[in-house]
Amino acid sequence: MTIVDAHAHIMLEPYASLSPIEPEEVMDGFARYGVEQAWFSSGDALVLNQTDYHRRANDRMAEFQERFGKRFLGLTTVNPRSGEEAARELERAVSELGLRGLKLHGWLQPVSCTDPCLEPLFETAQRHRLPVLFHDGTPPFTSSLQIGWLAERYPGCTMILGHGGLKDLAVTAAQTARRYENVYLQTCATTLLSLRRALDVVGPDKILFGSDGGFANLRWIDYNIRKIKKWNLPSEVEQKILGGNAARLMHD
Amino acid sequence: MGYTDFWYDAVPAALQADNIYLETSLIDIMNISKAIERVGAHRILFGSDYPESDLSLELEKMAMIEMSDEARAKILGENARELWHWQ
Repeated sequence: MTIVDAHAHIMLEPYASLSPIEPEEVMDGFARYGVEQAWFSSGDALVLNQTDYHRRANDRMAEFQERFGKRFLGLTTVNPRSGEEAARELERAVSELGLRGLKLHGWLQPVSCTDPCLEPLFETAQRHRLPVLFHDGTPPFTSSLQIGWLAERYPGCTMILGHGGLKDLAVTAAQTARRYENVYLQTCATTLLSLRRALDVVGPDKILFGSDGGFANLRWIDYNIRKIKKWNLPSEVEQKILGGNAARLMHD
Repeated sequence: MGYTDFWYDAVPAALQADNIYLETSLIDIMNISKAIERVGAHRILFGSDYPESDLSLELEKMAMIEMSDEARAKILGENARELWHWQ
C-alpha cells in the first residue's frame, strides 16, 4: 500500500512554542509509519508574512527536495497580501527552485479568498497549473465555499481543502468538492464520521490523506493513518485515499 | 478541549478557573501533552466523541502520549469517577 501524506509541515526556525526537528529525524518519522512521500510546507514561514523569510524558506525547501528525492515534495509559501511580490516569489520558487505547489493559511496569514491582492498570485498558480493546499474550516476567511469561489475563478488550479471543513464546515466542504471539479478534500483534523459522510457525497477519487504532521510529536502521523484504517474501507478505496489520488494529482 | 477553533483558549481557561475540566476527544497529541504539563492530569478527562470519532482510535491516541502511569489512570477514568462520585 502506497501512502502519500499530502499535508505535512517542517519547522525551519523556532516559532511560538515549537522548535525545529532535524529534517532527517522528520523524514525518518514519516518512513517509520510507511509514508513514501509527503508534501511539506514550512510551518514557520507559512505564518510569518515577510518576503525575505519566505525566500529563505523556499530555498531551504528546495534543498530538502534535492536531498531527500521523491520522499520530500516541497510546497511554496509566500506573503499572500503582497500582491505582485507574492506572484514573483511563487514564479521563482516553481520555475527556478522546482517546488511543486502552494500552501496558504488564510486564517493565520490572514487573507480573504476574495481579496483582490490574491489575483496576481493565483494567475501565476494557474499558469503553472499548481495544486494549492489551503487551511480551511476556520471562519471568517477559510470557509469551504470561499475557497470554492476561487476554484471557479481559477479552474486551472486544484484547490485542496486541507482539513475537509474541520468539524463545523465538513458538510459544506463535501458539497463544495462535489460542486467544483477542481476542489479536493483532505482528511487531517476532520472527524471519522465526517469523512464517512464526505465519501458518500464526493466519491473516492477526490479525498487525499493528510496528517498535518512533521512539526511536533511525529506519532501524530501514525494516528492519522490509523484513522483512515479504522474506516474499514474496501482496499481499493483505501489505496486511493491513502496515496493513489495524491500520486495521480501530482503527476497528471 | 476547543477542538479546531478554540484550542488556543482551552488551557488558559482551565488555568483561570479551577472548575473547568478539559476533555481529550479529537484533540491532537501535542495539545493534550501541553494540557497535562500546564493544567495537570487531575483535570483532564478522556473522551471519544463517538460516533464522530472511534473509541479505539481515541484510546490508541492516548497510548501515544508519554505520561506517568498515575496520570494515565486519572485521565482514563479516575477523574471521571471522582467527578461523578462513583464508588
